Formats: sequence, C-alpha cells, structure tokens
Amino acid sequence: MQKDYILITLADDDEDDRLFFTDAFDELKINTIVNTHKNGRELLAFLNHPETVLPNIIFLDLNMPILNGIDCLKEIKKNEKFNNIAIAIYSTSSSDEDIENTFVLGANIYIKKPSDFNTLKKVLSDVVTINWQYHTSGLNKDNFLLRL
Amino acid sequence: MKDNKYKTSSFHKIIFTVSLFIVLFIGAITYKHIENVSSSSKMIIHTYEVNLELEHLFSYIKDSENSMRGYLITNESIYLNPYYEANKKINETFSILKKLTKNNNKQQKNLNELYEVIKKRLDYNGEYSNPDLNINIGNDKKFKRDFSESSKLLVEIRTKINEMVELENLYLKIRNSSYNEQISITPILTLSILLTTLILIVYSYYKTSKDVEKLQKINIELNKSQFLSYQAEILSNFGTWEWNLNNHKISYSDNFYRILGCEPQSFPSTNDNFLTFVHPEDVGIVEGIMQNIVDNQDLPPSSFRIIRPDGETRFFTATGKLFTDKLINKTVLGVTHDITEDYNKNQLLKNNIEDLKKVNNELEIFDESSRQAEILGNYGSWVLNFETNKFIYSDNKFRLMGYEPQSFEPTLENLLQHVHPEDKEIVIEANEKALMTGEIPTMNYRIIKKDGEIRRFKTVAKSFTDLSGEESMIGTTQDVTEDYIKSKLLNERNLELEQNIKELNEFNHVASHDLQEPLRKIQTFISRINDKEKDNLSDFGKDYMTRIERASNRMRILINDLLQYSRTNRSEKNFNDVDLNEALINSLNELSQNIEDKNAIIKNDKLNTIKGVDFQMQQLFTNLISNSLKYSKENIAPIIEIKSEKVIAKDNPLLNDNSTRSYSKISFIDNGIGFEQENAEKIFLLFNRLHGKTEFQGTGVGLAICKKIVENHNGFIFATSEPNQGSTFTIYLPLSN
Repeated sequence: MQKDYILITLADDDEDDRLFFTDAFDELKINTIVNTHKNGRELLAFLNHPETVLPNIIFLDLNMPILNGIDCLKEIKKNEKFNNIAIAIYSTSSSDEDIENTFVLGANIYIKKPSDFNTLKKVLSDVVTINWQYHTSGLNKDNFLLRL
Repeated sequence: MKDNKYKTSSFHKIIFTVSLFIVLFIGAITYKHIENVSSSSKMIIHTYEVNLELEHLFSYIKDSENSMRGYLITNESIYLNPYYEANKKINETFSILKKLTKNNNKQQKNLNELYEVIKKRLDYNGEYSNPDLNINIGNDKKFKRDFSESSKLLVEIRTKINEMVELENLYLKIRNSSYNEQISITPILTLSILLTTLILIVYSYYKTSKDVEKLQKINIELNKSQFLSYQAEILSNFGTWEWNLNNHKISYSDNFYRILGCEPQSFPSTNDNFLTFVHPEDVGIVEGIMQNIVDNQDLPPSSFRIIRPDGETRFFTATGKLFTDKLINKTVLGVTHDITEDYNKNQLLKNNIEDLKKVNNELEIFDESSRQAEILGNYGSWVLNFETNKFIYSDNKFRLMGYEPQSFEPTLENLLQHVHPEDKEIVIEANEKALMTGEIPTMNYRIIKKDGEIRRFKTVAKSFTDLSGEESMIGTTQDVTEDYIKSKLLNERNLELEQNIKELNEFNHVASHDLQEPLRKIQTFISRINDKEKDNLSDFGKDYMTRIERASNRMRILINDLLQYSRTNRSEKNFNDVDLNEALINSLNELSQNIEDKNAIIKNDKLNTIKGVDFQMQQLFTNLISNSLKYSKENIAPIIEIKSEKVIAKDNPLLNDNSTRSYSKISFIDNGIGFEQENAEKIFLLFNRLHGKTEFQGTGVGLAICKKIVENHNGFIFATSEPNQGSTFTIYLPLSN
C-alpha cells in the first residue's frame, strides 16, 4: 500500500511556506505523503524515531532556528541509517555560498523557492519524479541548482 | 768635509813655507860657518908663511954675514957673490913680508924696526964690501968697533925676528883655537840640518799620507753617494743635469733620459732636443726657465709637462742652483723631478678633500635638518656609549622631557626619575638588555614631564660600531602621545567601521533572505488569489491586484539588483586571464531574448584578454548592452557597436596618468535616445535615474554596478552623449603588459 506513495518530508520554520508546500502537493496528481517539521532538530527526531518509515525525499530549508539546514544536512549525512535519502535544499537564498556548501555536503538538488504558486507546483512535481539514481550519478555543480 | 779639505791644504802651505825657511836659514848659517873655517885655516897658513919668510930673512942675513966675513978674511971677491945674492934675497923677502903683514899694524911696526936694524947692519957690511978698501982686520980700530957693532946688530935682528916669530906664534895659537872651535861646530850644524830636514820630510810624508787617506775616504764617500744618487734618481724618478755657463755645454744624467722615456745618452743633451719633449702648451714656460738660467744663473722650482715618445704626458718640476768650482767654472746644477705620481696623488687627494668637504657640508646640512626634524617630528636622539656607560642626549630629547637643552646630566637614574612609576620596569629591563646583548626591543613607556604632564614615548635603538671600533647604542625616542591618541581614535573608528560592515552584511542578509521571504510570500499569495479567487473579484479589485502584482515585481527586481551591487565586492581580487570575447558571447547569450525582441544589431571588434574576474566582466557587458537596448529609440532597431583598441595611458588625458601603461579601450556606441552630457557622471550613481519609472523600467543600479566593476579592475568608465544622438560608453581596462 505504502509503496504507491512517495514519502516526502519537509523541514521549514515558516508556516506559510509549509502551507504552500502541502497545498502544492495536494493539488498535484501524485500520490505523496507529506509531513513537515519546524526545524532540523524536529526532523532528526522524526528520522531517528524507531517507528518512522524513512521518507524518499527530504526537503530542507536552510534558514531555520535551533538546528539550521546546513547542520541538519551534516547530521543526516553522518548517519548511515538515512544518508542515502535524497535531499533537496529548499531555500529563499540562492547565494553561491549556500549552493556550494550544500553541494559539497552531499545534497542532491537545490531549489530556490519560487514566488509563484504554479511555478512551485511544477518544481515540486519535477523534483519528486526525478529518477534519483540517474540524477545522482550525473550530478555536478551546474545541474545541482534546479533551473526553471 | 769640504772645509776640512781646505784647512788641510792651507796647513800644508804653511808647513812647506816654514820648512823651506828653516832649511834656507840653516843652510845660510852653515855656509857662513864654512866660510869662517876656511878663513881661519888661511890665517893659520898665513902665519906659517910669515914665520917661514922671517926664517928666510934671517938665514939670508946670516948668509950675507958669512959671505962678508969670508971676504974680509980672505979678501977674495969671490966671497962677495953670495953676499950680493943674499942682499937681493933679503929685499925680496922683505917685500914679501911687507906684503904679508900688510893688515897687521903690530907686525908692520916690528917689520919696520927690523928693517931699520937690518939696514944698519947692511950698511956696515956695505962699507966693507968695496974691494978697493984694504982693511987690516986686526989692526984697524974702526973695524974692530964696527965688527962688534955689527955683531950686536945681528943679535938685535935675531931678537927682533924672534919677537916677530913669537908674535906670529901667538896669532897662530889664537887662530888655531878659533879654527878648532869652528871646525867642532860644523858636524853639529850639518847633523842638525840633516835632522831637521828628516823630521820635516817625515812629518810632511805623514801628513801627506794622512791626507791621501782622507782623500781616498772622501773619494769612496763620493763614489758611494754618486752610486746612491744614481739609484735615488731611478727610484725617485728624477734626473740631474749640469749647465756650464761658460761654454753653455749641458749634460744630463742617465736617469734624466729615462724620465723622458728614452735610453740613457740616446741623444745629444741640448736645449733644443729637450724642447722637443716639452708639452706644446708648456714650451713657453720651459723657454722662460732656460732664459732665467742664463740671465740669473738660478732656477727656482718650476713645473711643466712633457710628452714621452710613447705619447704619455708626465708632470715635471725642475730646480737648479749656481755652482762655482775652483776653476771658476760657473755651472748651474739642476734636478728635474718626474712628479706625475705625486701630481696624480695630489689630484686624488684634492678630489678626496673636495669630496670630504662636500660630505662634511652635506653632514652639516643633514645635522641641521635632523635638528629641525627632531623638533618637527617630536623626537630626540641619544647615544649610549658602552665603554663609558654614558649617555648623550640631543637638545630636543631634553625638550621632550620639558627641560632646557642640556640642563641635566643624562643618566639612567635621571631618566628613571621621569619615567611613569608603572613603566619603570620596562626601561630598567631594556637598559639591562642593552648592556647584555647590545639590542633592545622597541619600547613604549610613559614619561612624567617637568611640569607633570604625562606623555607617551616610544624608543627604538640599535647598537653601532663607529670607525674607531667603539661600540655604542644609537637611539631615537619619539613623543608618540598624539599618535597614540590618534591611533586610539583610529582603533575606535576601525571598530566602529567593522561594526558598520557587519551591520551592512547583516543588511545584505536581511535583503537577500528576510526581505525576499515576505515578498515571495506576497507574490505567491497573489498568484494563489489570481488562480483561485480572480473570478470573485470586481474589476476594481482585479485592477488593484494587477497593481499590487506590478509593485511587488518591481520590489523583487530592486532587491535583486541591490544584492548584485553589494555582491560586486571590491575585495574580489581573484584575477585570472579573462578572454573578453568569451565574456561578450556569454552576455549576448544571456540577453538573446531581449536582443531578438528589439531586433537589435550588435557589431563588435575582436576584444583583448585582460586580468580580471570573468563573471564580473560578463555582468559589465550585460549591463551596458541591456542599458543600450533599454534606452533605444522607439520604432528604430537599436544598433550597438563595440569597438576595441589598445591605448597608452599618457595618450589619453582622461585617464590622468602619465605612465606608459597600456589599456584596452572598449567603446559601446548606440543609436539610442542619449542624454544631456551634463548628466554623464550622474548616471553612474546608485539609484540615479534620468527617466520616469513608467517610461523605462529600471532601478538605477545597473550602471552603478558597471562603474563598480570597472574600478574594481583598476579601470575607468566614461559616458558621452547628446539627446537623440545616441550615447557612447567607454571603458578602459588595464592590459597585463
């Protein structure tokens, strides 16, 4: 039953963004189960929880209180249990520094939050349907940032 | 030595004269003496003659007596012959006697008396000599008387003659003794002559041999000194010459030839020959010298130059003095010295002295200027002599401490009295270190001036070994109070600035994240409303929605431009070779949609490669081209020409750079709406816009970014334009050689 769904987890401190995120998936005709967390600490707690079914994709905002995206990314990559999960950075910033850092730390794709809902939908749709195995093998700095 | 020689010679003369005189004197005496002896012997002979004649006389008288007697007895006349003979002889003898005793009055008188007696006697005889007279001897009385008379007379004669003989004998005795006397002196005299002569001869031989010895010695000395002067001439580079003023013959020493650069005696020594060596400019001098020798018989030291056969110029100095010898030959003896080395040394010395004077002068100037610098720069200098452990302070060092120059003895104790109590340890330690290692670190300490003011001093010092090998430490102490205050202020300012930069960075962060975040949400919400609620809005609401959308879009662009501007960081110095052609192509690709929309034509020259940041160059080109596209004329396809050339800084007065640095000059010429030239500088200012927002979209950041990028690359950007005539943007980017 669960196999038909794509499990998606988001860590974002901004309530509005979490709303746009869930709304977008609701409107998409893709079978997804989305759960959201307010910060990196919560996300890690969720991942570490023994009953948790590990998600297929983690969307990670960078600018979060308590445990920010970068540190969270480091923690995830340190843990063998879930360091294979695809990680999409989901941030307002598109600074070279952030892109570079997250790429080096092993994120799989970088998404700059769009300012248009339809664009958001398209981006999220694209990301969840990526063949991650294929994408990861050919990953480089140029295709790391998702361009629309 | 000369005087001695002359003395000997005159001494010789005197000795010779004296000895000649003595010999002559003694000779004269001897001659006189011999003469005396011979006259004495003559007198003796004379006496004997007188005696002999007297004897003769008596014997003749006797003869005549006898013959008379015989006649008388015999009456034979034959007996009378001897009588006559005897008479004749008596007269002869008598005359001889007379002659002999001529000088003797006594004998003359005796002789006269004798003569009287003899005559008487002869007269008696004469009476009886007449043959005619016949006398009877025995009977005749007269005869008898006469006979006795005559006998008596004979005795008388005999007596008289004896008397005379006695007298003569007396004479003889006297004469003999005188003769003996004289003859005994003769050998003494002879011997004395002999001895005297011998002594004189021996003495003069001794004297002469002594003189010869002396002369030989003098001769050896002369030879030695000649040899020495010969060597001296060679060693000291001088030559000697003699000029005989009587016959004007000149002779040169061997070395005279050598200093002229010739073999000894290789040409006749004449003035004409010498003049051929003299430097043409100095011929006059040398001719003057020669004339002076002839006129004044003297040559004061004179200098001139000669040129040797090998072309080398040498400096000579000559001097001479008149020398008159005993033969009254007037000769000027001279020495000519090759002083080229001395001259060169002198010249060198002169130069050295000149240099020293100059250096000294410079030092004085330096000293004075450093004195002024000390006052101006608020510093003082000091010297610590390690040997004596004494300090010397410059005037201003005293002034820095609030004292009159040199008003106290500069010692460590006196210094410490003025050091701030908290800083005394620093100074003491530094002093110990200086004495131990000859080095001190830069010291900062406080001084309490005479008037109580606290000043901050900074001291640096270095050990120094002067030319005499004395070690000392030279230090400079500066009153850095103002600097300290300034730097304190500066530090505060720097902190402030750092704070500002931090705040600015935070602002950047806010702009990029926090400002964009709500904007993005507004826009997303707008798009949600447009999607879901558009149909429920009135036309009025729809219009407002559109305006909100536009405003929020504009805000997004503004924020993005601002971010870009702040990211164009001046500190970005990661310069690489950038092929501007590539950067241009990338820009054109970036703008391809825009160019296509506007039907723009872009022509470009081949561009250079510069040192720079590639994406900034691309940004620069993008901004410039998009600016031209944006401000193009309506309904006219924009044409943008990009021209490139290589220029030298000094050829472009705009650059205000007189160097030969080369630049790549790139001009962007468009046919757009242009602007007033007076605004040419304004357009590069941030947020500065020449047009209304509605006419032309834009934030007023693009050209500001261009200026920032160009300046970041040490380049220049200028704009020239005229309204409706298009504009030209010119950038100069330095070429890496």
